[in-house]
Amino acid sequence: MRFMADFKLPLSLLSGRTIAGMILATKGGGATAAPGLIALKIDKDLVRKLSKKIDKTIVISGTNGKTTTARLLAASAVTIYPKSQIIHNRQGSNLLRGVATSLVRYFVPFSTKRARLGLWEADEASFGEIIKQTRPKIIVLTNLFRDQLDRYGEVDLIFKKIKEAINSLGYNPDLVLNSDDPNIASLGRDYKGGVYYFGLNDEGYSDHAGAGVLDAIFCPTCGNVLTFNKIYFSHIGDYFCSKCLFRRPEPFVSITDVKSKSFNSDGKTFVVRAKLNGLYNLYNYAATLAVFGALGGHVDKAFLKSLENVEAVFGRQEKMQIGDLLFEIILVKNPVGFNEVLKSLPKRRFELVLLLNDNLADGRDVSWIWDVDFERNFAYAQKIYCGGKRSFDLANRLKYAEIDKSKIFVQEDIDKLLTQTIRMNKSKKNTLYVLPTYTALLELKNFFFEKGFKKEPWHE
Amino acid sequence: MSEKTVVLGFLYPDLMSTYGDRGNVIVLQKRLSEYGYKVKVIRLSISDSKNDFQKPDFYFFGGGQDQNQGAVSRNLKRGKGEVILEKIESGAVLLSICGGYQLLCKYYQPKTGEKINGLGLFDAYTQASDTRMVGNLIVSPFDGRMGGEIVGFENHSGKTFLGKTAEPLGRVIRGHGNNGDDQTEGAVYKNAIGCYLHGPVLPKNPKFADFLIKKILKYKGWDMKLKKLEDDFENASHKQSLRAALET
Repeated sequence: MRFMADFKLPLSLLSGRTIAGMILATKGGGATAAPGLIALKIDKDLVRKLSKKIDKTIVISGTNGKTTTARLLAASAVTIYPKSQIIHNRQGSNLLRGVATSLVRYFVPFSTKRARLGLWEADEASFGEIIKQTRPKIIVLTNLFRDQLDRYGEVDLIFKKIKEAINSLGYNPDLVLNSDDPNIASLGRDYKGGVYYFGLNDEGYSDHAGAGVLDAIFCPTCGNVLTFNKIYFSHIGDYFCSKCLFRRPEPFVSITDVKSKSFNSDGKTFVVRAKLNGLYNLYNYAATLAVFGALGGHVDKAFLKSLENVEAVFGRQEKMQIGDLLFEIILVKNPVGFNEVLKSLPKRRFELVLLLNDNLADGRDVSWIWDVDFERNFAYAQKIYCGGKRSFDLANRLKYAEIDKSKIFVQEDIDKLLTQTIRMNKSKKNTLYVLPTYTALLELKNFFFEKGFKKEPWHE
Repeated sequence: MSEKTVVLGFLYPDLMSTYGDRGNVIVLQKRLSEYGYKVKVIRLSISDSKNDFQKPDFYFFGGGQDQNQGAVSRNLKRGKGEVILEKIESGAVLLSICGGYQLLCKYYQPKTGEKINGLGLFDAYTQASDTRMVGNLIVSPFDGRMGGEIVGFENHSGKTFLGKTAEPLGRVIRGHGNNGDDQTEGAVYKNAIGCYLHGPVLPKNPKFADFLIKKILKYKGWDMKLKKLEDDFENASHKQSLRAALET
């Protein structure tokens, strides 16, 4: 009956908020997924209902770059919307329960409170149900690479599901798409809504990947093999199809010079003094600029400053100083991401810590490390520490990449490994780059927290 | 003094190399070099000629996405498949994984539609299913010369069933193997092996790698004696992977 009050929603909010409160009180952090999970069990339409109280929603998905792009957006959105009215699943749970948790912690039962902006990072496999429930105004797709095949299945399948999900919405949200990724770009072709592409337009940049980690080289429209004029990495580049003439579209926001971090947005060129390094991160800045354009914003000093202030995102270039030793942590998840991180490391001597776990969240199949181009990017690494549950897979990989065995140290136990590296570098002014997979990153953070090196493990 | 050169053929590397399978080629290349042989790795794909497909002493055929498998299957029908079969009959060595293995069986039956013919090297066929066979895989090989249990990782939903004349690679100790029902994994025909072991399999199973190397040397008519390599990381990786497989 229409006029009967909806008690499910307030009950689910109450339960979710109670759970969150309990977790925060006992653990001092966390509460990123459990509250939402419980709340959804009480009201499965929770996300759909609460999304109606948000003026504008943006959903960000893709293989690499979603967290960083979402963070850049969160940082710059405060120049347009009041911070207290922005909801964002910033602590990383990018499944539906993560979105639900953020909503449950923001909204109060029986209140008319609204939010101006909802920013959701969405895991590729959860993308469909998230957009169905949140009904975003803007969808951002960063790229699509082979990642955790044991969890996701093939790239083609994920792409199909993403496409179907967008087509089944019943309306046309604005799409912010990577022009240099054929699959992603093809979503804009013949699209009835607004499309904002972002890509690389740097004449001087070209890197023909030798490792050949090609995931999608067929034309997404007609199935013919794609021709590439330029390849920046993996299957990202300037391409066209000789059969149906599908080609890389001209971007609305482009990276015009990688070295100086220059961008062009809607005709205007400017430099972003970005703190995050590597070409892969420039794409994330470009995506953010494109969203800003889709929102109808103008790139001004305040906006640029907000972008430039973003330092480190969970596990992406996070720094930890212990005495004279500086740890810089960069999360790795798949071959393309790993390769791009290796390429972005400085061209001067450094030490490296590689941590490989094979838990569910890391991807249980670790074969992917053989698609990482260790052969080419290791000239400056003086020592390489291998840790994690598959530490010897790493060491073995390095051995076959012809890296001098005397440089390789193996210690499966991450705590012991970190203690060892700290001891071995006592009173040395060194920088240690740590490249962990996801659960290894969590172990790493706990290690620093327990040793008293950082305030809160969950603090972002 | 002539240098002994081994030619390793990497079949369709741009289309059939999901998840690190190329590591198998890297390992064979490096080990052969350590053993004192010269190695040439050639990539054989869509636009290479039938004659090029003749060249290898050893073929590697990895896994790929369904769409890629279709393109490769069509390309093999242009005489290249025959070349490979003849070479196997004459003793050439081959390792195929997952999609490559399936293409070398008699056919692949998708859930709906016509069956897709394979090269028929192995007396086996694959049936598409809804069962996802994903996880660590331990196999006890029937050929004692393969050096003990082989550990890897499988990820397939196709179930392969062996025919009467087929020889399995081994018995499944942990995981699913060919189909999850009959405890067999892989297939062997002369010096050709097909299996579902990703990992990739050779880096962490050095004795299995050396087994293949000895077969290559025999095919070339050379002395099969191999000096002992250190293999510390290989053996440690093998142990660590076994432990991971047994824990799940």
